[in-house]
Amino acid sequence: MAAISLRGLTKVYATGVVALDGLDLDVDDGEFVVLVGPSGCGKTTALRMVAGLERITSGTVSFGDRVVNDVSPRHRDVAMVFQNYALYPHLSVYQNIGFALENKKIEKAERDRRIRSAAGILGLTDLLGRKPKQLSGGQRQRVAMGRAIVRSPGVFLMDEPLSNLDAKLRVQMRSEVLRVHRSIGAATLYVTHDQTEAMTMGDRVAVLQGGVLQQYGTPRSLYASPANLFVAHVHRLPGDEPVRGGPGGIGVQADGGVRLAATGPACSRRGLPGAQDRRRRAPGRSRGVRFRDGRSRAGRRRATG
Amino acid sequence: MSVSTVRPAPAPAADPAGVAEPESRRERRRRQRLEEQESIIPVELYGLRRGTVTLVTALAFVFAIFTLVPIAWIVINSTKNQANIFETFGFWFARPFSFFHNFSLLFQNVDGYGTYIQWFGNTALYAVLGGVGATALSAFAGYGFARFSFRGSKMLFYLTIAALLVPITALTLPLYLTYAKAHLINSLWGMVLPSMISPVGIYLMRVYVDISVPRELIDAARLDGAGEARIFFRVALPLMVPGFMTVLLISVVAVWNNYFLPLLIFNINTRYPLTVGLGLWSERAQNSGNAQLFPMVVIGGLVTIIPLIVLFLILQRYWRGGMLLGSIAN
Repeated sequence: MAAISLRGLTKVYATGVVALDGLDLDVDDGEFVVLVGPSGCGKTTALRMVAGLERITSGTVSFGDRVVNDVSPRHRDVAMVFQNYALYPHLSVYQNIGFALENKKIEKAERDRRIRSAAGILGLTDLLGRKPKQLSGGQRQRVAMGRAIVRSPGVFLMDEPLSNLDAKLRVQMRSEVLRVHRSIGAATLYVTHDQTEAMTMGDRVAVLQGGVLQQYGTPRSLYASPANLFVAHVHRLPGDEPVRGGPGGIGVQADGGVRLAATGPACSRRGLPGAQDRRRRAPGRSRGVRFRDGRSRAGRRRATG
Repeated sequence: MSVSTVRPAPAPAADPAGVAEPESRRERRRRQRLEEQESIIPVELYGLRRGTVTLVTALAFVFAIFTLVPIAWIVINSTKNQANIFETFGFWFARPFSFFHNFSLLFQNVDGYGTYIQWFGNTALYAVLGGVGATALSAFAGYGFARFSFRGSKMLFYLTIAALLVPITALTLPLYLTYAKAHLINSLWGMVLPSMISPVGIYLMRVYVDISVPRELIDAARLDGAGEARIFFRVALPLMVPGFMTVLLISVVAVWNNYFLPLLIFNINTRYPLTVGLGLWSERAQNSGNAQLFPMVVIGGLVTIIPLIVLFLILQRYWRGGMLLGSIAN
């Protein structure tokens, strides 16, 4: 029984825009699943529907074997870290973290114990008396996580929690987030547009484009056998330059034996394992690349990546 | 990666004022004064010529005088007796100094038409009930309009705004007839209930909620398991304080200065508010030969405006915004 299962989850806005089209997704207990895709691909919409903040057009959201479509967000036992943290500005760090417990009418001593334990996990113990405006970006981010973990939620949602941090801190916080995830062990759904985050953090990664799920699997399987060109792009490293295809275009063997062809600058060299000239292997990425037809390419990883 | 490597020593950028030790009141005032000086930009940088600035300043000065002269007049003349009000120069003092004598008259029923202090109490009661009520209702309604969409919400809001366009004078007759049927003539509630409806207040609160209470904060509170009432009082309301205080001031002033409604619904002088009472005195002083009422009208007017000035001074510290700083990443 999956901790979170989405079946045919669809969102159509009143304007007719289809934000999400029939998403099927399972997140197991204690699993860390990353939803990745470009902005506007429906990943945040999906997350908000799981949280209950967005109305579901069709499909179901279930936690365990319970369909929660009609359960209000406050009764879903879901914790969420928002992109902008959404801390209560007039409350101290202590009160921010404790707000959910206060709502649950948990008695004061127990509340205090849990707030301090959450603060301890996140290294916030010295900052409990501060207001959010007296904190740095990274500290605010950790308060937002503290507010979520203090409740020991069954389901943990994160909406681009690291996107407002500077590059260095972002890398540090990745492992921090994973460490916290392991310590609470809740099924986690993590939304990001950052391919590196997706590939390094997720137990499984779901790639979304235009509201449609492209592929769902472990980072390794996405890397080794991308279902299509778009997925191949996801593990393209930053700094790659697109290259023009030769006269015959660029091809990649896709899931189900379909041969997708593309020409033009949209194709990245490293994003297309084995593309362009099969015999010359995809530079920098070819190690372990295996196409569905069973052929594999050996090659050495370039020192650049 | 361990936590200790992630945690920077209390971020210097976010913490310039040394928050660890709360600064004293005096230090804060001093810092604010310095910041203010720092932010003054010489007019040349606005691309204005000196002459233009001088002219505009002079015009503003003239207008300020124009506004303040009546207040100066009322302060000066509250110290005069009846004869001196008419016979001496209006903008300077004259003997005998009658301020305290005049003031004592406010506690007496001089001509049998009512006692000032009683009207003062009435006005205060109406203003507190009406003003606080109007502010509370405006906060509820403004929050509702700003953060919930429901069937007909736009229509209702436009209707509320449209109410601004109807002058109360046009409603005199229907209002009076309705009140008569509803037994609200000479009733406290007849005065307070209409005062609690404030389209301007609702509009202001809606705008203020829009800019000061982020939707994400409400979402976060819902996920934190807070009920809607709790979200309003614990999360939204503290962020609405500056807007709330503005509406409170506007509403209290509106009820305090309201003349038309009480004139319409009260015909017992013990129920009068200050506006109607002073109007009555003024009318009797001019037309009925009760000239001894003139000094009382003058000092009565002065005492009437003092509470509003005090209220403004008390509330002004809430105008400083910045509540939201740090709630969301910049």
